[in-house]
Amino acid sequence: MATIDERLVPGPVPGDLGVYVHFPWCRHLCPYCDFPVAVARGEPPHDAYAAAILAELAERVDAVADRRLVSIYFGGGTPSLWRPDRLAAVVDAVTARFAARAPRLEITIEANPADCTPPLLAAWRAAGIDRVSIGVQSLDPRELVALGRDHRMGDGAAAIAAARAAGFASISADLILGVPGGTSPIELPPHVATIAASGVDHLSVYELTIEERTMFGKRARAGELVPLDEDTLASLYEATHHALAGHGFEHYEISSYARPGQRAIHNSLYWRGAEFLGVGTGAASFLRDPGGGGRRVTNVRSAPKYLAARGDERVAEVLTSDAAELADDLLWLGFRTSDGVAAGALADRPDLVEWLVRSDLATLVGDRVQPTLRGFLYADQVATRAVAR
Amino acid sequence: MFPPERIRNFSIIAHIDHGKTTLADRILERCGAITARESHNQMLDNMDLERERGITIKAQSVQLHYKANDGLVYQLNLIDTPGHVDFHYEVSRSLAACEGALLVVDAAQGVEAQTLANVYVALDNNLAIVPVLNKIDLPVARPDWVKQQIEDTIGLDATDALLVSAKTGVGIDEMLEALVARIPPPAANRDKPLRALIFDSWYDAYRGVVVLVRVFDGQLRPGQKLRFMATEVEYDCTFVGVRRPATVEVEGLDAGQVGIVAGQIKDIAHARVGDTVTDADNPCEAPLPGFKTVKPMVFAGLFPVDAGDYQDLKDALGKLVLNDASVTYEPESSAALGFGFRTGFLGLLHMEIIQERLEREFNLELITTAPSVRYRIHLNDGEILEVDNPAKIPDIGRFESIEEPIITATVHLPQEYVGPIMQLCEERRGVQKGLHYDHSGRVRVVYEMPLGEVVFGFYDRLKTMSRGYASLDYEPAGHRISELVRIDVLINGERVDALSIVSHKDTAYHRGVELCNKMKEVVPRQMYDVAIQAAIGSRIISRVTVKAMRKDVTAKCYGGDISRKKKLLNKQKEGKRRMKAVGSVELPQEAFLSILKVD
Repeated sequence: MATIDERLVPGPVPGDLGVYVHFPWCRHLCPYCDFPVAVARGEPPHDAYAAAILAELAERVDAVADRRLVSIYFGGGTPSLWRPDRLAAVVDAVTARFAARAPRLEITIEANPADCTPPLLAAWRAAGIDRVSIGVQSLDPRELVALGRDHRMGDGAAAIAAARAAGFASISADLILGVPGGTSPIELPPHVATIAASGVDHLSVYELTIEERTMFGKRARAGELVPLDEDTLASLYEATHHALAGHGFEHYEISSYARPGQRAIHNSLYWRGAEFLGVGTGAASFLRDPGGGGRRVTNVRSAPKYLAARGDERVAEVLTSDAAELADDLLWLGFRTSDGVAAGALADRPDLVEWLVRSDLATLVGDRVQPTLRGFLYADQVATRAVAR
Repeated sequence: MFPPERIRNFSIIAHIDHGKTTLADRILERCGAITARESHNQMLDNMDLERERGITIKAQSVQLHYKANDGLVYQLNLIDTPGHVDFHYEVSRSLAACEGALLVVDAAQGVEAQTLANVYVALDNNLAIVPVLNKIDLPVARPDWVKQQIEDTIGLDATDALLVSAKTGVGIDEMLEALVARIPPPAANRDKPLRALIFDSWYDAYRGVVVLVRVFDGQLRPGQKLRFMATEVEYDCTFVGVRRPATVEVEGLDAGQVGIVAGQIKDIAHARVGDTVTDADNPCEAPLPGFKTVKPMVFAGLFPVDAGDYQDLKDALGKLVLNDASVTYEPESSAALGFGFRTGFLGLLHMEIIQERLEREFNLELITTAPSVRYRIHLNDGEILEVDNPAKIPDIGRFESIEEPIITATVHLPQEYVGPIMQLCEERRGVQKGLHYDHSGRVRVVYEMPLGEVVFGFYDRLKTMSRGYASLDYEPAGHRISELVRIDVLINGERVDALSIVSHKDTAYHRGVELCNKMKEVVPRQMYDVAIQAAIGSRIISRVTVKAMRKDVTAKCYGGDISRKKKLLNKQKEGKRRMKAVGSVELPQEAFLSILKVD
């Protein structure tokens, strides 16, 4: 795949860490979403939840306070519903704990278009947030209706313009590909080109995934929702890649595109095996252990449970990996990014490299084995092969 | 010495589910051999697999003592026989060890086909048959109807059939009395030279090969030098015992008795079922009649999914044949599947059992190729080649003729299925040899058929077409020259030796087309189109394409998704372990057995 050599954003170095803060409340449930969310009846419990987050941070940050803080990410749910003074308090609490911070500390908030108003955007900037990720999803009214995100969610293009005016260092938009009942499917959805020209410098373009425990899942099981066929979805994916490349975007991860220098620092941590501390309902953490392995910890999803929990009561699941398993994880995660995997890390897997290259799934570029566009399309095949020794 | 006139050697003939095991437990219980609590263990069936499938594979015997109403104690030797068509010969030898049999019939369901096959073997061996109607406690029991059926189908007088419920215990005493009264004692002469019939054998880690025998003449004692007449080997007898059902050492066995013998026999092939054991120092004049060397009839390649398991497979087969002299195996190498073994079995069930035991008891993941038979090939230069691997059948033009093994197949079935079953047999190149109707609407059809046709799912089809009512019994019936061809399967243009089959010229086209279609159903979509072709020689007769999947990618992979994704990957990794890469194509295990699904 044509990749722009993206070294303007250095990769994480050992000791780099990001902090993820989950805010579970939404105005209403989106029919496709299976993130840990809750519908806020009236106002969400701004203060109580902030207190719980600060308490979890207080308990868990000391163990990682020697790391270099590179990012803070407010995800949800809808963190743009959170009162800005609470966001500011969490940012302050996190940054105060780390003596070492990256020169550019990336602080992102996920926002609904409707919340991207000048006063709120200004308040987020004042809290130190320098990146906004806007849940545009689509510019096609029919698709928006199908996704349960009609005009009440706000106008995506206007939100991007307002964020631009507010002076954010980086603006990202989320788009969903392959919405049934949307635009003529084989063609490139027109909104991809529109959005590319709208002033965003980062895009997350996901194929619609129909998750079991969602309204879409239920409707799909009942036969009321028919997903687009595989051929159409693959064509859409390829068309999106080519259109965005034409607009100067680098396809640096399966579902992520960035203008030069605008790769998401926080998201990249996930794909490079770097550490992250996740606080809040359903939040996931990954911390290395001294033996070379790592632990993936996931918090409970329920907000009432989380609010009442202390210490380990917050934990829903722990998954530990030894060094070898972690090395395999870094392979399949690495092959989901355009940077791929260092050839040195594959020195003992000549069969894997041979298969990747022969199958046109990856190419050797300098000292790296990097996926092709085809390699992205078959990423799960690559992953299965990478972990199957 | 136990007086021979008070010995009764008998077996139980019953259809599966008609309550043989429960009835045997009752008899053991009544004779004080086991307690009611133990009976749930189903004493007679040893192997897990036997218990699970309700099929007896190995013969067993239990010695019981029963005090009859006449005040005398009788020795009852209950001989449990294998119960499946693949073990026709073993069944006949077990029955040859008896003077009588209890014919157990479900009082509600009546006589089933499989029972008939064994009754005929018993009648051939001149056994006294005592009809027993079991499950008489069921409200739907129809004893009069079943009695009439026994008279009509088997021609046995069922007036005095015993009415029993193994479940409640009703009628058990009367049945034992009838057994003593109606089954004759063995004709036994303990002064003649030793003559004992081997009717099963197995390997015991401490005693070596243990042999189950029925002594017809003379005496068997520890210290005797035993000669196995067919295999011409001699061993010193080190142990004589009986099972009650725990093994108990005894002073010896006399004419008329049943028991087990050991003599540090290393190789189970030295103690063949049907062979006669005599005293080397005082041999009998002639062996007992009826000995046959049972030869494997059905062959398949067994390959480890993981090439690294080859040695484990070899060791496992070595251990299995310690207990089963009818299994043969020799190394085989396949271009597609690597190193494995061409393994010979008595029949398809036998094959299935061995395969399942290898996977279960030895924890091996195996790929089995479609079953085949052994062909006799007359090459152009007059040489005769025996080939049991279809891939090794020479190309057309390189041989004069091929002979294939023929069997005499006897099918018992209700009248209404006769038409379709005859059609099935004829489609499978059967030649009708007999058709016998009886008064109760049952039919016995006899066909001469190529065994090679029977191994391709014939039995399953028979069962499906008759809704389970038809039974199959078969015996080898020599060889016949047929116009056979080898059909090869090519995956993406490359011949996969493990997929070759043999077919008659007339059905080859249909088989080739259907084989490709069936394979298409089981080969998962891959990253490339996969072309599956069938060919005879260089002529392609069929082609299907498994279209490539266009993509396989999880869109989102953030913090929490990674754990989910990891679990999924581990599952897929397991699935992949069961696939075999042939060239660049991954084939699941069932792809190698697709031919069995072709009608």
